[in-house]
Amino acid sequence: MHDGEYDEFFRATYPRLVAIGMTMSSSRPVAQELAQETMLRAYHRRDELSSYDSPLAWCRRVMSNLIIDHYRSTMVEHSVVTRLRVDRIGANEATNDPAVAAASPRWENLIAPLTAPQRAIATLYYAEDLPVRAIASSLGISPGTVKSTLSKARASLRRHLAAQQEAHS
Amino acid sequence: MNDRPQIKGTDPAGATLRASAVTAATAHQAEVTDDETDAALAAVRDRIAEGDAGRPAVLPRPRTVERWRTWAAQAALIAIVAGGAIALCQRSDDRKSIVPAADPTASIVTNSTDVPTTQTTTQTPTSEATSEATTTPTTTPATFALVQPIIPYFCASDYTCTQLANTDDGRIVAYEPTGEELVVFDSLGVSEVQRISLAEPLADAFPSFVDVGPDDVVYLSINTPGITDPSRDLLAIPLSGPAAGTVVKRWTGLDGTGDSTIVPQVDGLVVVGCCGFMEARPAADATRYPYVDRSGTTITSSTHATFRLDLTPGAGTLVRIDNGIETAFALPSEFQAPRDFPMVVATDDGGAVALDWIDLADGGGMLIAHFLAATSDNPARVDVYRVDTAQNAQIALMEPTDSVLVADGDHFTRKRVADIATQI
Repeated sequence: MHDGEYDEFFRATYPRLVAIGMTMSSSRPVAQELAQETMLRAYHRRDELSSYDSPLAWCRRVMSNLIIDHYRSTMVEHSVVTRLRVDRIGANEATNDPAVAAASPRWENLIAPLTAPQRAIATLYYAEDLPVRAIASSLGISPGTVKSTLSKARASLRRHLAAQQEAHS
Repeated sequence: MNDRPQIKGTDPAGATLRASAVTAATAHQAEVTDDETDAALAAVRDRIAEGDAGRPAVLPRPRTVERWRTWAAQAALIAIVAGGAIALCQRSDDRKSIVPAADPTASIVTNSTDVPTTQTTTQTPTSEATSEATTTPTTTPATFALVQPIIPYFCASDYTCTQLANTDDGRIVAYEPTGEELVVFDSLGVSEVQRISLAEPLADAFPSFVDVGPDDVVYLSINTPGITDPSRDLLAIPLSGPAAGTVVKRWTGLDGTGDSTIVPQVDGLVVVGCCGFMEARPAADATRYPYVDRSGTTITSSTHATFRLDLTPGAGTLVRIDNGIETAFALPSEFQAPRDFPMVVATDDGGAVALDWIDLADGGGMLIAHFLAATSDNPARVDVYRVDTAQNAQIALMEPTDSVLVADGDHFTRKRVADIATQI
């Protein structure tokens, strides 16, 4: 992958990584910083990446692990398990379409109670539409771990979805 | 097995969740403008021009105070520590093998002093062993002059240097990369007892000394030959017997990205992934590489003291397992969210010593947690030390007697934890 091809790859991939990062973390600065970190790593591995079937999958894995690492560090710094605060983004930041926003509960609110790994897996499952085995492959963990983590995430998501829907009704 | 149960049209809640997630992701991606992307590209280009290699993607378990300088340098040190820690888990189980690292005939050079500790811990009840910890003043025992090893420290390249581990009976094994030899020393490292040349060269720039397993079999890890993807091979090489120095078993296709580590368990070496997906580590369904004997035949179990992490949020424990008997130690706050698995050594007194890189508000550092088991006189407690940045100590081998071997010029030096780290 020569420099021109890398730039092209960057422009095609970076927005997707930021979107993944924001969907997982609800934090735009974190998503931007870690997307750049991912793309820097991609540059240093550009020759290998060009031989991969899906360079995006490699980037997605790196991005996901960086986000989880980021919040793991946050957990350590605060010496407790912290949850991402919902108010990190504006009320209408998730979508510019009021109709869509009204129809779908805000993802940021739903994933707020989840742990970082649960957010990562739930995002890859629901937003990226990846099956369990692809998530396992993408994150380098076993399908069983994905399933157990997703199961806990799903239970939490449904609880909060029901609570939101009840509040709306 | 259905890979996607209750989703895609069959589950209203799932469909709603998917719509919510896709809406968010789509909106987020649409918010990234071309200008922002170009600015990000320029920023990355600047970092490339400055020689920034980024955070280490290949082996992100840094073991030096200069965390991000080069992943390769860290890889060498990680391998050193891993080998030592893993092997010491085995060594500590064979109580006969534990020898004092200090020379009891030497004169006392430091009087004991009371050192306050900031850590409070409780032990989680288990089926076989329970005790309760309280905050107590830490008393540093009388310090003796340490017996110094004669083990030389060589580097075949900037990042491939001598790595150490222990056999079951406490002998120290050095993988010496310049000659591709395994050199066996006595348990204090004061005399060489055996030297084994590898039958075939590893031909790898970054070999890693993983473990010395049962039956005098060494486990080394190398990059998978001929593969550009990050992949490693695990090699089993006996120290003695007819096949000494030859590869009697080879596993290929291990993760080479650095997003996992290998942890010794009763039935072999087990993979622990990074990034906190498992509340119990190793996970029950983790990939396992069973130990083999000197002929390459699988050994079903060993009697090593092993460890498990139970990472209940905010109340994690380190569990030491001796022949099925579990003793749990509450993790100090700094160790509550490890990236994968710290290096852990079983200590003679039934406790443990853990070593890990911890991200802290000031940038992070190497931390050592010394878990002391309860005795009739004292409750259990944990002392936490931070390796002094100024010393930049490269810990090559953790010992179960409050000492470590560190690389020191062209040889290894035995030091006490308190000599290289400060209690916090």
